[in-house]
Parts: sequence; C-alpha cells; structure tokens
Amino acid sequence: MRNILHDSPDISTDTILTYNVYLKDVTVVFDGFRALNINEFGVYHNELRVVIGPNGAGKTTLCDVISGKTRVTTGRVWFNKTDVTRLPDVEIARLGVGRKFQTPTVFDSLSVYENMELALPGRRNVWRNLWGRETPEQRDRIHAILECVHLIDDLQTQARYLSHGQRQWLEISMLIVAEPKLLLVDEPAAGLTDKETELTAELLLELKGTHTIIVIEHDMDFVRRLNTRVTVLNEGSVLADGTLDEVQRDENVIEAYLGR
Amino acid sequence: MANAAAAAQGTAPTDQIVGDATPAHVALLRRSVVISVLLLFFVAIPAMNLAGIVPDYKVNVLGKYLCFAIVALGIDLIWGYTGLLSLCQALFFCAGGYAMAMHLSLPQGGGDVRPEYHNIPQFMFFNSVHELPAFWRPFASLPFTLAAGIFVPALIATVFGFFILRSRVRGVYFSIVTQAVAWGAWLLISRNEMLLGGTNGLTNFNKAMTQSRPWILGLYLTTLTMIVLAYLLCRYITGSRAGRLLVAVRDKETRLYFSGYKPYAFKVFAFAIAAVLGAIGGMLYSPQVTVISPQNMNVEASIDLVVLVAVGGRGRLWGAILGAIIVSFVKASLTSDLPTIWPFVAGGMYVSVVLLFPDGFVRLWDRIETEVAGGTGWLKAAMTGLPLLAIAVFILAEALDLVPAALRKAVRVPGVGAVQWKYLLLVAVLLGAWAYHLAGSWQRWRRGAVAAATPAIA
Repeated sequence: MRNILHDSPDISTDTILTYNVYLKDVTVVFDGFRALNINEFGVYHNELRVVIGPNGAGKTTLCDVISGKTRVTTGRVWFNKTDVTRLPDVEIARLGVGRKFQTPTVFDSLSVYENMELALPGRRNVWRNLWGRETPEQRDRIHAILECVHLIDDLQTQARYLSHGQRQWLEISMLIVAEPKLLLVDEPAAGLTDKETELTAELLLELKGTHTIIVIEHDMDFVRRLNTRVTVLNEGSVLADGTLDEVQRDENVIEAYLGR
Repeated sequence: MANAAAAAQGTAPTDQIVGDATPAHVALLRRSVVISVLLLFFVAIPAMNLAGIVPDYKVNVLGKYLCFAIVALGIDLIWGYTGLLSLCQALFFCAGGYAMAMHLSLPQGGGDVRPEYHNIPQFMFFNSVHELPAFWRPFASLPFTLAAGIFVPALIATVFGFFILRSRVRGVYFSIVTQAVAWGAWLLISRNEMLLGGTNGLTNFNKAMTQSRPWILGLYLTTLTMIVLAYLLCRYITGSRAGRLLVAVRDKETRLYFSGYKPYAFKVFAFAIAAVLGAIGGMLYSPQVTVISPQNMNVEASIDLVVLVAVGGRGRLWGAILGAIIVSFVKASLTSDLPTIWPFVAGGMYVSVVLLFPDGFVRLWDRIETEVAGGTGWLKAAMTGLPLLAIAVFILAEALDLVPAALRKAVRVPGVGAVQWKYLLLVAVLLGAWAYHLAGSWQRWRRGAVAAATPAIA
C-alpha cells in the first residue's frame, strides 16, 4: 500500500478514499495513437456506472488500465485506496478487481460447475489446489448464482457446448462468485436476445447498490434500464457525464455520435 | 458429489458431453477391459514366460517399451492437459537413465570392471583417467542413485521452467526453447571430457539383467508397477482442482491472470512432474538395455516420445500408455521386417493418425462407448472398435512371439520386397473397418439428405 500523501500532494487523501476507482491525468499511447486521455475519472463505492461511447473511444482501454492489462503512459490509477498504476494484472485481480471480457472467456474444456469452482475466492497456490475441495457453503453459493442465470441444469455441460448467451452469463457468474470489490463488465448484452438482455439487466440491478460496477455498453435500452449515472467517452477523453437523458441532450455528445 | 463421481470414473474433463453418470453397461465395459488388461500383463504374461511359451528376451523387450509408457504419462500431463509441447523429455529420461547407468557401471552395481583397467568403467581408462572421478563416487550407493535420478531432473525442470515460463513464454516459443535445451544437453554429454562415456555412452552392465529370467521378470514387473503408480499419481493430479487449472491454462490462460492465479506456477509444477516421470522411465530403462548413450537424449528421441502420446491420444492418461505400446512395437516390427521401406510406413502411419484419428486411439474408444451407451448391439460396437482390436492383437502377437508360422511367410510385393502375410492381413482388416465406417457414414448422409428433401409434415 503506497503512502498516498507523500506521492501526490496535489490530490487529497479524501479524494482517494471516497472513490473506489480513481484515474488522474491518465494517457495511454500506442505507437503514437492516443487511445486514452483522461483528466479525471472516478467511481464511488457501491456505484453502478455505465460507460458508453462510439467504437474506438477507449472504453475497453479504460478497463484494461484499471485491471492492469495495459500500462498507462502517464498518470495514476487508484483502486480502493491502493495505487495500482504499476501493479501486474495478477496482483490487481487479487486486490479485488474482477473483469468480464468483451468476448466471453470461459474455459471450454471444463464444465459449468468447474468453471465456477475455479473462480471461487481462495488460495491460489499449487499446493493448496492439489488438496483443497470447495466447502458446502461455497457449493451452495455456486448453485444459487447459477440458478439466477438459468444454468443450474447445465452443471456438468462443458462450456464449449453452451450458447453465446449462456457463456456470457457463465462469465458474469464467475465474476460474481469471486466476490470482487469492483466489477468491470464489458458489453454484457452483446449478442443476446431481448429476453436474455432483460435478464442480464435484472442481474446487474440486483447487484446495484451493494457492489461497485462499471458497465460498458452500446445498447441504449439496456443502459436506460440500468437507470444510473452515465459517462460518455469519445476519442479517449470524457465527453459528458450525468444521467442518460442529460447525456443524450448534450450537444457535444450529439455531435460526436451523429455529426461524423 | 457429481464431480466426485466423474473424478472417480477417471474421465478427464476433455471428453464428456452430457452428464457425468456413465451408464451402467459402459462402466461395466470399462471395468472389464481394465481388469483383463491388468490380468494379462501382471499374471498371464509372466505365467506364459515361466511356462516357456514366451521367450525371455521378449519379456525384456516388453519391459523396455513399457518404460516409455511412464514417460508418455508425464508428457500427457504437460502437453495433453497443460498444452505445453515439451521437446526435451528425452533429456529427463536420460537424466534418470544415466544416473542408473552410472550405478550399474560401478562394481557396487554389478558393473563389469577389470583389475587391468583399475576397476573403473573401461571407457575412463581409454580416456587416460585412472581413478574414479569425484562426481561418480556417490553413485556406488543405490539409494543415492535413486534420489539423484529423481531430484536432479526435478531441479533442472523447476529452474529451467521458472526462467522460461515466468516470462510468459508460450506455445511454439516454449517448444523451441525446450528443443534448444535438448540439443545443448546432447552436445554437452557427448563430449568425452564429461566422463560419461562420450558418444558411446555407458555400457558393461551386469549381463544377468538382460539374460537371466529372474532379473528380466523382476524388472518387467517393477516397470509395470511403476506404470500403475505413475498413472494413479497423474489421475489424482488431473482429478484435483490443480488439474483443472492445468486444463484452464491450456484453454484460456489470460482468464486465469484476471482470476488472480499465477499460471506459471502450475506450468512449472506440471513440467517438473513430467520430468520426474521421464526420469523414472529412464531409470528403469537402463537395466533393461545393454547400453545408454547420448542418442537416447537427442531431439529425435524427444520427438519420438511426443509421437507416442499423439498416436495414443492426448488428455486421457491411458491413451499415453496405449500409444507408447502401439508405436514402440509397430516401429520395432517394421524396422526388422521391412528394412528398406519402414520409414515410409511409419511416416504414413503418423500422417494417417493425424488425418483420420487426430485425437488418437482414445477417440475410437469413445465411439465404442457412445455406441454401447446408445444401445446399439455389442457386435456393431465391436465393428467400430475393430481397428483398435486388430492392432492390439497384432502387437500382442508380435510382443509375445505368438505369430503363427503361416502368417510369417512372406510374399513378394513388387517394388517393396518381401512382406509377411501378417502385415497384409492387418492392412486388410484396417481397410475393411475403414470401409465399413465410410459405408455407415454414407448411409447416414443419404438418410439425412432424403429427410431434408422430403417436405416436413405439418
């Protein structure tokens, strides 16, 4: 845990403590291309925030930077009072950042139950995993979560035989069962039918208020359903911030989305 | 509980589609096959040897090839389950092999040393070394040899694995690095200055080990026992959560990083276990052969070991054992009976395996099981398994010298030379089974095409 006061005199400790995730002066430059250019971005504890923007706006890069997949070129990233700017992805994950990727990344050869089992919080070393078994409480938790996403009947099915929607839900379930302090959910409604999208929205709304969640989405109906604060990114910077209605009436946003 | 049942059945995560409750008759089939195989190897073959039906040297050859099965299990763990193609397994095989060979070259291990050569291994005398080097001396003790044979490869694998895998080297690059390690080790050990016999290797072991029946049978049974133990160890590992993590490493390593795991630790673990199993295979190999040399650790030897697992089938453990036996014996028969064209036949076999059985022979067994589970008759299931059955019978006959004299007669095939009837029969049976399989597929396709063409009745 880096000492906040000594490192950045221009940012008050209060700022770091109120936010669950806080980015300051973050830029990510790939070979001259400026993917991310954020002056300030913060998500409060137990807030559900939606990030929208056209393709290439830097939404996934934002998630990458928070979860440690990409290094920032300049700037600082704080998660839960810790400076995670230079930490590797494994350490950040162990601090409690959970991530769902744009394309469902689950373990194809393992069954649904086995996928969930690997996502359980617990010891991550080889020795412990040679002997350990999940506790009955953990098993019940897995069943409960899978019940919500209608995967309870497919416990032993290999993940490769699931439909796209089921894979999305499996990955979200794996995220939930890991009990993270921050959930980064990248396009949860991508490729889902209307009914499935409805269920996904319900799932996130159930978590709202008790978990810190950042959702990236394109589906505006889905975003409206979530009924929460929206941040618009465009060309790597924050363009607008507010409720969905405010943001949709913002002139800059209209120009960015329609005026190209 | 559901998981425990699946684990108890020994099914790897790579196979089952629906449910973990294997139907009763499939479970019965599996159990009967396992018991028959165990009885055959542990009881029937020694009995036949003692009764004089199977000659001693054949048991010796069988014991030698069974050592490869232990190595193959390790390769299946690191390649079939973890997805890392290691091309230096022969190096670990020889680490164990050379350790045991060193012990066997010394008088305390029964080595053939002469007073005129100062009672040290002969090659040393011819290299102008008149006294046993310091690093050789501890190998006089068998316990030390066994310990060194296990810990040195484990150490090498852990150290190398740590440096290679810590930097997230994956896929082809990992294979190339291991190949470089194998090549470098081969160059090193071949040098006379290493005092390990140079390119000639170590020899002059106790002749009784490959010639007297008690030694041969004893080593054969020891090798068998080690195969069973190695199999149980691998089954435990793959059935544990660590085993599932190895499969996860193979499937989507990136996902593991973001779930808080350090995949390299698991990869190094699998690599070390594979190294130890390879070394154990090597330690049992040395007493059953008369010489061990750097030829046993070159890149070609490593690739041969990997082919064993590829043909048998990855990700199923017993596939590795099956592949080891099949490939070793087929290669042995081909090299002795078709001296001019055996590389083509062997190559053709490998290519056809890749094209027709990409998942190895285990896929055939899966098909048999699906048919039995689906309720088709035993006869039809047997027809599906005919290739496997035919090859198994062929190899057993070859291994135990039980090929009837009629099939050993040769017929002249133009352009090839003398080909024995047993090969023609085997090829005929395999082609017949393949034709039967094609006919079945064609029937199904026709039925499907007819159904598609017929308008559905509302």
